[in-house]
Amino acid sequence: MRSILTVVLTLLCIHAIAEERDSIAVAQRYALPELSVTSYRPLSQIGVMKSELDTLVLRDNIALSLGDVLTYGSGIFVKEQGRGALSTVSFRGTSASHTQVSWNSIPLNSPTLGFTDFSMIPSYFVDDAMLLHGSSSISESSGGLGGAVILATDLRRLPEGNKFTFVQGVGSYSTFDEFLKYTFRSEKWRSSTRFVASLGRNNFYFINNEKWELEYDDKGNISRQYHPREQNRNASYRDFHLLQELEYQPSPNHTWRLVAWGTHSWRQLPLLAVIFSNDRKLINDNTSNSIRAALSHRFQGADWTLESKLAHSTNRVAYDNGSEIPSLGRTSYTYRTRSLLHHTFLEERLKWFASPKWLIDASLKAGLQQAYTSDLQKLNLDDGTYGASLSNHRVEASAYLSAKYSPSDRLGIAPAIRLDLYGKKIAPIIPAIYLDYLLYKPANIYLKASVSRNYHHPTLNDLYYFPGGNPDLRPEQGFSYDIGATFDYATPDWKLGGGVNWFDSHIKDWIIWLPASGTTSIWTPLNLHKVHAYGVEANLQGAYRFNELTQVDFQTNFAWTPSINKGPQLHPRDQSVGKQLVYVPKISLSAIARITHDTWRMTYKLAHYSKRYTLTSNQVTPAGVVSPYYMSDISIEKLIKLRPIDLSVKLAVKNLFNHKYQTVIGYPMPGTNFELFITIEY
Amino acid sequence: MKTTKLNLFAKGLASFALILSFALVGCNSDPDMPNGDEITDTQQVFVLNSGGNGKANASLDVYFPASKKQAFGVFRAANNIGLGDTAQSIQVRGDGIWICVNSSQVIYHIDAKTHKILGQIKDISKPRHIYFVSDTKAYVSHFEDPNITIINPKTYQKIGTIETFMTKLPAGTPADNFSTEMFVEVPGGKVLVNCWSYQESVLLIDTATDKVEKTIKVGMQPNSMAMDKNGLVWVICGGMTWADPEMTPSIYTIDPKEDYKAAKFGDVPEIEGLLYQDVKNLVMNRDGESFLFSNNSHIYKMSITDKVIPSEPFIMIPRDHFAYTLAIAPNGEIYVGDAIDYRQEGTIIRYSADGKSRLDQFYTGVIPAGFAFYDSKM
Repeated sequence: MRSILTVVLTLLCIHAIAEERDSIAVAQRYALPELSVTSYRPLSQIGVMKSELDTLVLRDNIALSLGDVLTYGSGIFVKEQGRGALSTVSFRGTSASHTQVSWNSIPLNSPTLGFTDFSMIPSYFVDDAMLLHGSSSISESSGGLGGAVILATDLRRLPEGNKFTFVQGVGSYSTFDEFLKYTFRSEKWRSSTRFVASLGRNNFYFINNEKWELEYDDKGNISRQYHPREQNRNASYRDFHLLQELEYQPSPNHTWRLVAWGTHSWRQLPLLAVIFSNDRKLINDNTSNSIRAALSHRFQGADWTLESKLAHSTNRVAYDNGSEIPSLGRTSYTYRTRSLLHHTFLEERLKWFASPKWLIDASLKAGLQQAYTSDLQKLNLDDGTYGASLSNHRVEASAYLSAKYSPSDRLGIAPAIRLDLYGKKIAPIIPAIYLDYLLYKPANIYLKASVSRNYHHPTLNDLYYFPGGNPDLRPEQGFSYDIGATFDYATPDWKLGGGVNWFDSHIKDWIIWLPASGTTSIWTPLNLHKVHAYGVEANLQGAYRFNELTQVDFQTNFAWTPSINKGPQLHPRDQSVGKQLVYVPKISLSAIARITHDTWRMTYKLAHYSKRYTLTSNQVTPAGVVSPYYMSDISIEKLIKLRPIDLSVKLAVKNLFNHKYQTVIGYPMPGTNFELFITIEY
Repeated sequence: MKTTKLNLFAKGLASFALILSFALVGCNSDPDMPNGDEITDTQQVFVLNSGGNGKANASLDVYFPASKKQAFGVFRAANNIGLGDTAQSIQVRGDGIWICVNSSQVIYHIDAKTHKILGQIKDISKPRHIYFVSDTKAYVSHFEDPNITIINPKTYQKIGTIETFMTKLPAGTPADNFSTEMFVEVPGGKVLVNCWSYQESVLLIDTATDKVEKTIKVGMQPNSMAMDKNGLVWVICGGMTWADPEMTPSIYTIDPKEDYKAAKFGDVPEIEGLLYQDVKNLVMNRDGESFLFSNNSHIYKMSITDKVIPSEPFIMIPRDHFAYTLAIAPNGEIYVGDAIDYRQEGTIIRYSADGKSRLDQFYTGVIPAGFAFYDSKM
């Protein structure tokens, strides 16, 4: 099946490219994207290395989290432990906390852990997704040593009047996905209400090759042994998301906007395949309730815009880890962690077109981070109350200024600086400079380059977690440069675009947690390592229209990201220096190919990661390496017009070739599985 | 429309990218695996590597002191499965080796020569150590379980439980209180077991009745203990200086001849400049006249006749090394395990019995956590 599909798709593509047509008339049943490119680079984009996720990729199906979208739609490495489980990313070979993530300008990175769980972001809650690579992320925030993922919703595209959309998904392993959307647009008001519910048991079967089932004879000798067929356990999830957006535009100059996103999530964290507990119930659950809200005002002047935003997010997280003691009829817990996180900030952003050649971009942001964490398992020995692991707050402020100048149609230059204040400390100034040059206008070939310094501040856990937090930690410091080229070319019947980019980052004072002073029970973070992350990112996308009904699209992303620990040695026999960081693949590859014909659409997706080391020494042992894999998904969709409603039916097949694979050692992943979606629009 | 050179180039590039993408689909491969050498030494040191918690990378290595050779990952090599997650303890009994794998919640019994599994006890809450009462009865201590489990080592079945004072603690008591750890046999068919995590007790169990006879109060977090040649039991209590600076590490004695009376011998001298003190790994010398323990990075030796706890190290561990685990071989040689960064292969330093000479140093699996000494000639 794999071979047939490969041949068919390849031939289709070659055929599409070989055939020429003078022009096409657009009358698709599906809303095929325009085959055109903008041969104009706005001042705001001078030297920016970015990738935008295609709307069709974001909207592939309701079951996808943003982690899934990034897996197939970018060159970023996504580390996940299955549906409904933690999903983190490694951007340009850095750690998960080195990717800054925001949704409608609200930071999603945990103030205590530093990283973002992408599995908690429904792709249908994102209308625009953009990756800012390396230095380019400084325009949004500091700390993105790898880059930034910028997510936003957009009400400007809403159709006039009322519109309902309902999506129902039913899939393998008792998976149910629901999406409901209601939008309204009038002259001055826009409103969007979205609801997502995802439930699943994730209880797929697998042959457990890391266990033997033993049968004994009368003398106690093994008479038979076999690998048991087991069910993935403790992997259920129930996620509910509600998003309300309201926009009021009393005049063309003023726009008021309110967004509020509430989440309730209960998730079991999957058990390792090597756990032999059969009868007792093991508990490994995470419950999260969060609300993120922002009120903003945008003033659009003749040559300037000013956006003001007041935002707040609260996240309450409970983590329980334990097991039942049958003889006692009670549960014994290792962890019962409770966290309450608040983040409030005020932001002003000004864009002033001083002249057709000058743009001043400035922002000022001030906020308060608060974190309270306690473990119900830690008794306060003095008074018998439960001990707080963390009870701290931090005032943060950041100022950004960039002057973007285009002395000619071909050249752009944009120096920028950012200054951060966190707690009582002022971080050194972050400078950056971006350049681009239009090399060949017919194909929009731009040469781009940037260089910057960047700082990633320690998280609240790094600084204050009890026991072990280290208030003397310094920010991790990065120095990066990029150089690359992009192109875009289109004719009425086909288009092709892409880019290739070399990057080089030196990060020092990289924070790692180690046992304090040689103790084994208390770990503390230290500024120890230097890391050299470098490599190549490339992407290529295109489309071809056979005729007014038929179109082929494709996109590919490739990243080669050596990320090397440059020491110093922690120990005379430390073998980690000069080695690739753990769980960072050197090669990531993704591809999406889509064929649309009349009311039919077929999408094929491929993701590949090279081997990942689990040991800092990079020793190749059975548990020291996660094997490389190629993961293929395919979906077929049919649009049915039943006026006044539009109906579509879609079948998605995941892990098409039934590969046995793991993304994290010890956690099996499902084989071929299916989900059927029905979409109703009115 | 006319075809231009640019068109051709772009189309060629697109074709290449797609063909490459699809051609790669079927190309999965497995990493190379290491091979071991054939070794015939009879004296063997089994090194149990706990692996990282949640990493499923526990392993078992064998070191041959005579030839200084090693065999890595012998459990997987013999059984074609990994040892599991967070191995805790290892002990030799006859020609068999018993391994408690804490987080995997399994106990393996393997052949000491072939390393093949002879039996396994599944679904046993986080096993820590085993004490063999007889060929058909053994006790298993647990982490996060207040009971001690009784097993039949012949049939690999659980045959009973021993309730402790922790069993009767009120609901809601933090589970960290529920742990038992090492066993020390005392005269009269009895055995002591320390309650390590967040506790300050040692239990006395009658092996005839399988009941706890006595709960003996010692210092905070008794983590290791051993009996000297006079029958006195020495206990290291690790303390909790990270929670309360006054809960310092201490050494206690328990005297079976005095109705198991516990007495504090003293506080372990503090090493200056450290964030927290970490005192553990009490191991008795074979003659029962002195014992070793680790205090943070260094190894200390104390005679049972000493009046004060030594403040000068017996073995000054080299800079940047850490004593994670400690054992004394039958010939008196000392093995010190070092986990380095806990995410790569650990290292072992083998010292002479007098602690003055470093005889060898070798790599092991991830986080060397225990040793067992076996002579296949015996």
